[in-house]
Amino acid sequence: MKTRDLRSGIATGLLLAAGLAAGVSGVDAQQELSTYGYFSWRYEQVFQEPGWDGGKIVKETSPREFTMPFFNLMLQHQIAPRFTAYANLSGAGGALEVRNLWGEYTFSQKVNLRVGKIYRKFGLYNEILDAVPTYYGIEPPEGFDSDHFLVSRTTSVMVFGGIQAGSGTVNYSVSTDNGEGADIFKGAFPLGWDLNYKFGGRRYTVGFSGYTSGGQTNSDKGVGEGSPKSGVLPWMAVDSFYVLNGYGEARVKGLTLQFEYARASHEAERDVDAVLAVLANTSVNDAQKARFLRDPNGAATAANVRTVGDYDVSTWYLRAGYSRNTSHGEIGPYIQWDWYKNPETIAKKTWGGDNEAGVADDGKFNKGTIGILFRPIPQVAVKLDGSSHFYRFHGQNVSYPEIRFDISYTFGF
Amino acid sequence: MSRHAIRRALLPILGLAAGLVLGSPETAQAQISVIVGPSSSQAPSKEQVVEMFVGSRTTWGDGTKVQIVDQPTTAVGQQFYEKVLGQSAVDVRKTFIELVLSGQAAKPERFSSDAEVKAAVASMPGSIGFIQASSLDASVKEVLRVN
Repeated sequence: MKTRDLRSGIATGLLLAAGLAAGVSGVDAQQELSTYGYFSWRYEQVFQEPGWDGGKIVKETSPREFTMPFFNLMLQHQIAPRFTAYANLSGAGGALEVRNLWGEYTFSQKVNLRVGKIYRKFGLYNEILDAVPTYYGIEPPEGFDSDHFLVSRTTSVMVFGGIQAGSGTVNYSVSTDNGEGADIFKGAFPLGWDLNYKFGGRRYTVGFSGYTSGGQTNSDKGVGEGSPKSGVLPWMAVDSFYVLNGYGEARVKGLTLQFEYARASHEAERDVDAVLAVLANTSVNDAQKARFLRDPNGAATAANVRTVGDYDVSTWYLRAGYSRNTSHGEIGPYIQWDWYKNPETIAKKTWGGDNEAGVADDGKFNKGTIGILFRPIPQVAVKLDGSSHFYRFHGQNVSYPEIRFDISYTFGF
Repeated sequence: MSRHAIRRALLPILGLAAGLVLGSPETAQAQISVIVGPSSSQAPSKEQVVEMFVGSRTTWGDGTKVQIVDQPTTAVGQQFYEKVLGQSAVDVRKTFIELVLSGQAAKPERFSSDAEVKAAVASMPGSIGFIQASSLDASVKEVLRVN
């Protein structure tokens, strides 16, 4: 176990132990353990996705995909009036993943300390992304899509709180953790932050989030090990980067409007061997080859690899949904538009890329989505939507549609 | 008495009767008591009560977590959501499902009578609930009354 992992684990343990001790010795009646969560089942299918075969674009319809039913089980225990413990376990196909496990001490509404494995407060979605039944849409915004994250979703220590200001609350959070990489780089001090203003009874939100790697780091995945869970691509030897994010939300009389813009700026250095492995095992396009090699027409040799790998990733989205309560339940049509650009990524997921930006000639794509949400009761959400991706592929503007269906049941409420 | 005079005499009576009929549901609505535990020293303002029940405020001033004790399906519950919160119970519930699933708030406890709410508020630290003012007794402490 790494020293900082050990430190983080000990801190969590101490906090939970202190909470338990306080709870056991407390004179107040204690709350029971709250157990709740949701079950979900999903169907997806992609139609007519462009591919390249024999020097021309061919279109393929992917096989339909029924996901295994999965669940998120949340446990929350107010151990003592100021101590809360929380766990979020996610299960699918026989595997169980601990998404969150933290202890929290509340000094006041203004100052709270949370330690453990925590979803960082970042933008509108990172903290609530597992609460799929509660929001419009099935897929997360592209910046939070698991094959091209801008930043890791979790952090280890977070101080946060809210201060009354005018008719609303200014909320802040500051967090730090082990950093993005698998290795510890001496001197790196990652820092995440979020600042927002919620007003009008939580109906309106405007805010900014940020993250800095606090020095050089590397990826949590090696080449060939799949998509990273952080913002650093696997073929980078080192990467020093920061992310800035602005967002807003309005909920007025059944109408929900959301927007978010994020930009990640990377000062990176490619690992020569990793780049050669990528070039040998994947089909990079001309633009990617021109980034990776000094002479794109030359041989893929160590001497020809371009090691300076500075690049920016940017993304924005607009989401709108309109909720109407009827005698049959809540009906909510929604539309979404996502834009994402990452010139550095590649097409192959198993080698750390994605199958969206990495496929496009210029690393850019748009995605439009239209869908409908139906909640016969607040605990059940049925969603059906369709998307189209739009991008440049081998010099042509192409698009392909996909449909999704998701049904989830929230229990314990 | 002329017909005109009769009409003039009847108008105030009809107006009074109409006022009584239209006004009767208003007067029939019970006063609401917002309550905390008997030993609690909390004294929230009406704005703070609203913030707690819509999920904007999850902590008391002394750091204790707010525990919402709700009775959304009762008559007093419907009156509370309509007159005090200005939001539907369904909308507030959706907000809390989002907050609770992400660990940002304690799960509200839901009951269906004043007696159950009083028992829960009296026993759970940090709790706040509401009942009809006529159900108030020494087992809980009133911090706000809404007409």
